[in-house]
Amino acid sequence: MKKNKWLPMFVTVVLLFTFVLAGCTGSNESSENNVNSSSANNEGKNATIGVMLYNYTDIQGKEIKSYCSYLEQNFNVTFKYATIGSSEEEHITGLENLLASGVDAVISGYDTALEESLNLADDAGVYYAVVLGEADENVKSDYFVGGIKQFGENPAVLGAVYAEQANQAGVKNVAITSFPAFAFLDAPVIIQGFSDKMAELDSAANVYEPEYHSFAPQDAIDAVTKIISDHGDVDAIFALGSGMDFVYPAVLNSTKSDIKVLALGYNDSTEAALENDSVLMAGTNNYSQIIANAFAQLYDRLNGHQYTDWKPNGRVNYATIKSVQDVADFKAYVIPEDKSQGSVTVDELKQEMLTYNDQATWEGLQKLTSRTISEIKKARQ
Amino acid sequence: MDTLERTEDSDLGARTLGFRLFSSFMKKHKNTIIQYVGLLLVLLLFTIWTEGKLLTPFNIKTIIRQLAVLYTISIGLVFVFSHGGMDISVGAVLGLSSMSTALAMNAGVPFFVAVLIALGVSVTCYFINIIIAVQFGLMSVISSLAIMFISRGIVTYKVSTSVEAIKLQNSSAMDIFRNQTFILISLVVIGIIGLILFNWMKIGKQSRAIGDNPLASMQSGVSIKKTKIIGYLLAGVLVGFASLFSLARSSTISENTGAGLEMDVIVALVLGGLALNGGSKSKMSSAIVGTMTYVLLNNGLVMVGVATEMVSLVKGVIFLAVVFLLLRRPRSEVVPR
Repeated sequence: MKKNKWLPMFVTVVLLFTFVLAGCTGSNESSENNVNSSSANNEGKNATIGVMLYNYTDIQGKEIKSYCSYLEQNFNVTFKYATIGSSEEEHITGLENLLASGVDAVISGYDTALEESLNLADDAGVYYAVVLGEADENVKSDYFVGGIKQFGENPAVLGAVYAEQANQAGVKNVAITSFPAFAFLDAPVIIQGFSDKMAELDSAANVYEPEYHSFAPQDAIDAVTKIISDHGDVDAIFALGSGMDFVYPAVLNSTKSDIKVLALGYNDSTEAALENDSVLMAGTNNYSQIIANAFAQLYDRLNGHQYTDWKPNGRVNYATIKSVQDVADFKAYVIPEDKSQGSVTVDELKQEMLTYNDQATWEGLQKLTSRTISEIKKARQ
Repeated sequence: MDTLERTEDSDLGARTLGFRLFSSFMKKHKNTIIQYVGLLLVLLLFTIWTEGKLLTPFNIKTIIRQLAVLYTISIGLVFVFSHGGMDISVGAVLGLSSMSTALAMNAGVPFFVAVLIALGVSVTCYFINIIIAVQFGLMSVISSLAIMFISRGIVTYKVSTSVEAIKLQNSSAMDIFRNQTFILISLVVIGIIGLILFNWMKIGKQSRAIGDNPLASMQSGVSIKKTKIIGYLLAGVLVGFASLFSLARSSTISENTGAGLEMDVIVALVLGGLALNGGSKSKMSSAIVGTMTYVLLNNGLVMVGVATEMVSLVKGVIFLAVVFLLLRRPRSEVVPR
């Protein structure tokens, strides 16, 4: 009898909870609709764009969502988000679900199962963009707006910038850690750029062979341990695979915690790490530029416009951070709460979109979305 | 007057009898009813929530396509879970099987042979898995862990040492596995075969008996080793078949192919009411209903546009509710082991 009473109670509580959650979503939707209706005087047609990312909880995911909200407030657009896993099956499933929900275009973080994804997008008549990587230029589709180069036109230049910082800090023996090249296609070019510049700046400097590791924090710890055991004199690590999230903590917890880190990556501990000199340099993608680039092209296509000078892969700036002042600038111009003070404002973006400016060009869009932090800072002053 | 009273009494008696029969039927089939009611509730909830978009022809096709891999695998794994086995290698084996098929097809092997390769690789993995478990007395989850690492290791090695991405050069060769009618027929046939084997054939009955009490089963003349091996081989065949659906869906192989599938299968089976320790309560319908519920849930949540930070929470609540209703068994129902 006792059981009979609390079973319906449990079910009632669960159902109530579910409906409350449903209600929460509903109220969000209505507030979004209000925002959209307030910007109903925009010239572009109403569009829904799906976004597919592994997660929306790290800085990248949060900032991408935040910039999308900014776009929602200023364009006739609504974003719909899907969290996907790393396997092809999960990617395709996420895309199918978004297509079934009636989106007009899709921004995918990754080029996973690109051909099949484009087949699905083609069948549904939905435009598709890859934003966190370069796309295979051989893949053709009328609905594909392309990919984005994360490290600029030539990733070797980024490697050279890190080498200059290492040289200025006076490090002599540098190890390299990275995700495997099959997963991080630009890694060998960045490493080459770094090694060449180091050799050019200081012929006495040693750059050891890269230590490739997989995708879990423990893999980075193992790589750091191996470096310390193989090269006792190592004084810096150029960490390409989640440098701040994986390698920096691994170094701090190692037997040689005075190793300096040159990291590809950014997180909340970057500022303190730069301040105490344990990190010489950090860096990350400019999330606003990434979304601005893809959105401009997708929204133009949805409004029947396409750049005559279009190329399959656009570019954004890789924001590098060398000092506490750089962190402050990064926070002010790359990840500000008020996106109208950030890397790409709505007015700037509209200038490079054919929907609002028939003189706009694809190259102009690339210039806008590949500005460095100092260029953005100058534009805001 | 007397006749009227007698008629009323007899009506009342009939109604009481009807109620008793209904009540006893409900009690007897409580778990099955909750299973289907759960599926119906999810269907109803999302149909209303999406204002009918859930049941558009486009989305029904989407759901059928998404069911193909998970459903096929789940049917196979019921034979493993029902005897108390546990398999977490399914994602990695599917990846290895898909990769072998893709490489074979790219090398010019006829389609029919490529299909056999897919089945062969998967069956071999599952055979090794169960042989390790039964010969060395290891827990099945441990042997499946070993198979998972080996299979994933082979795929990762091959992918990372290949100059170009591993993808089907002639993707249209897999068109049959993308054909909606073929998928639907396959799902129906696999479901029917699964139901027959599990409910009415020796393999199903013996698997359940082993799941309840291996010692008693053995003393009743059940060959535990043979039953387990057959169960794993059946699972292997279906995982191999599912790998073809998977390959047709993506045409590409990466180190992540099949990643996370093991958890999806377990969640789907639990959502369908399958007790993971196996036994007489195991049902093939758990795989059918569970995978449908799971796919509908994932599909519906995206269609509705539930905030990404809430998706896991909503899934968790629904999962908890279903598990609570389906798997909370009175102590009297649990057979001592």
